[in-house]
Amino acid sequence: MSMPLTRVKESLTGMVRTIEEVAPQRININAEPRDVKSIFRKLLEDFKNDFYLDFVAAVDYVEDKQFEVNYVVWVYSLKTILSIRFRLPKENPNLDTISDLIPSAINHEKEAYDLMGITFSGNSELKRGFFVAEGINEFPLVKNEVKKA
Amino acid sequence: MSGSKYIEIPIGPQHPALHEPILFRVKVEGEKIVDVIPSTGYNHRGIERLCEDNTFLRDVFLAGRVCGICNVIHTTCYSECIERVGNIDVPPRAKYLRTILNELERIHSHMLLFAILGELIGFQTLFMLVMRDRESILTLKELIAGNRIQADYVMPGGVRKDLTPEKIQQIKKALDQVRARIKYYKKVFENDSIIKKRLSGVGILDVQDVYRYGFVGPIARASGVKSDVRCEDYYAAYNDIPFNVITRNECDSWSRMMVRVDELFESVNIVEYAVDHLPEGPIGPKAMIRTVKAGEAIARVEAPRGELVYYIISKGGDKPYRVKIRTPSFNNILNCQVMFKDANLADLPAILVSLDPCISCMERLVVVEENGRAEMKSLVDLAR
Amino acid sequence: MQVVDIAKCISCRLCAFDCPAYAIEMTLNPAAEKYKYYPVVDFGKCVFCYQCVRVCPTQAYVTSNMYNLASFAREKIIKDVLKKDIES
Repeated sequence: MSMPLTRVKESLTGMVRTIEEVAPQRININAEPRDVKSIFRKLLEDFKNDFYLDFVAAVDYVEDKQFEVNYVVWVYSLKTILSIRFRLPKENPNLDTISDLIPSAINHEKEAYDLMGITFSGNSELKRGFFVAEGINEFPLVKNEVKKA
Repeated sequence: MSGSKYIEIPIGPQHPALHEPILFRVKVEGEKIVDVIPSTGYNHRGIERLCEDNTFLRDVFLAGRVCGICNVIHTTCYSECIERVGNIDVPPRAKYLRTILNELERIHSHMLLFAILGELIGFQTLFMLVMRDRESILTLKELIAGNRIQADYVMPGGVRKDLTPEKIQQIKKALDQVRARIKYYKKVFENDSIIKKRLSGVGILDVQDVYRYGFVGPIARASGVKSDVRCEDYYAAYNDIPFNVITRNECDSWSRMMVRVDELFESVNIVEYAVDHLPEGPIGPKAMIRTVKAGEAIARVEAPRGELVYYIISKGGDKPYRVKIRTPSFNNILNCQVMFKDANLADLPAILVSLDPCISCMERLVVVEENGRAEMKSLVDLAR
Repeated sequence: MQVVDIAKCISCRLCAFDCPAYAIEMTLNPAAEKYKYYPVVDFGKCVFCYQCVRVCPTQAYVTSNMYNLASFAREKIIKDVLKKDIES
């Protein structure tokens, strides 16, 4: 087992479902949506001033009828990407905001809301028209059957 | 904001710093800036969605058009990501050629920024001089890739054109001249009183804020954070090539420019090392890579403005399932309000230009309303 | 810009399939004996990535030194270029 994987397992075991190293320098973590705040609070404690939030990618999995929100974190000292994934239901996808812990998350959450329609409770700056032109009600990156036809 | 004692001044969206549209709503109290709110949505072109609708091969050219200045870097990152998804090996010669082009692009991107800086702080001569020297780098790029700016050079699995020994001689000759010019510019940046007075001490960015807000690239390095993807996360041929990561501790606008000046020397050295040690062999796969097996990957590269990330999910076949692009400007520009605390209004352009803003990178998506239903426009329609 | 030598074309459509800007259209030439379709490049749409030059299996595409594409009307671009080509 590689050194970064050991460190991450030490830090996060018990809070998440799976931790696996998919490639060199890449660690995937699956977790429950309700734990999002406690996971990042733990990361802040264990890797203080050692990581930053790289991006938040929302993916629409049509076959599973689920959204996946992927928080990608770069840890300087481990030279590793942690990709922390949360599965959300298609109806009313909601996560707690982490922008009070990591301020840069506020913009990533705004983007995820504008393009994918995922709401973050606690983030007061969510709005349409952040990237997409105003007056459009649909979320452009959501895959649905209407657009394919 | 009724009853507020602050005045709100909109700066933009017509080209506040570089020639790109973004609106900064600046709250001022007298001359002091209290808060800056970046407001986006003027340049949204639908690239992430278009990537899902086009094939892997067409997306190479789409990725190159995310940003005009760093197009080779974008295609490199896209190709690295495809190679990580499909476990495709790249021949060493192609890796070195990618490195050469990436560094040439870093040189001309930084030089463009110096020129814009000269224009913004009222130093027009610097603009003229830098633009003249930048032209020789663009000529080199044309020599290697066939086009001055829009190179379309990198493909998944390799590169598109080879380098001959005669061209290598030309590259070396031109680089010698460029190095002499960069030495001169370094002297200018260190000694010129206009630049020193306008830039030093403004736009202070604490180390703590770099971590909290996720600043990347030269901006993080100017605050003493040693963050450079080229030596952290190996791509292209950077693990074979010796180079230094430049960091400074002044944390202000001037140190951000000085980091870039010193990086130019490193870039010139990297290109010279790479053309000297260019391995023999093929430059790409025989057949085009049209389909990629199912899987997903994250690729990071170091663009001139900082760390660029592509996240591609493939479900097999010839089209990607999801392409996520996170450009350096997204982190750098949208969080820039922390640098403007207690700055003067007149310093705003000087701080902004030190961030090297690239708005077209940042925004990538457009939807056009037609018949009451949101409809995605194809590249053809956008070209009209 | 790139020029096509129609005599070499084998109507394989690879260029039209790969063109990222959908600028290449395969057009029917009823007079041809064997390969009845030939590519027509719409330079108003072309992004000059030269993918067509690279994929062509018979090297029918050739890059040229012609660059003067400017024209007063979009529709005239192809016509004007052809005219200049004939005159020169």
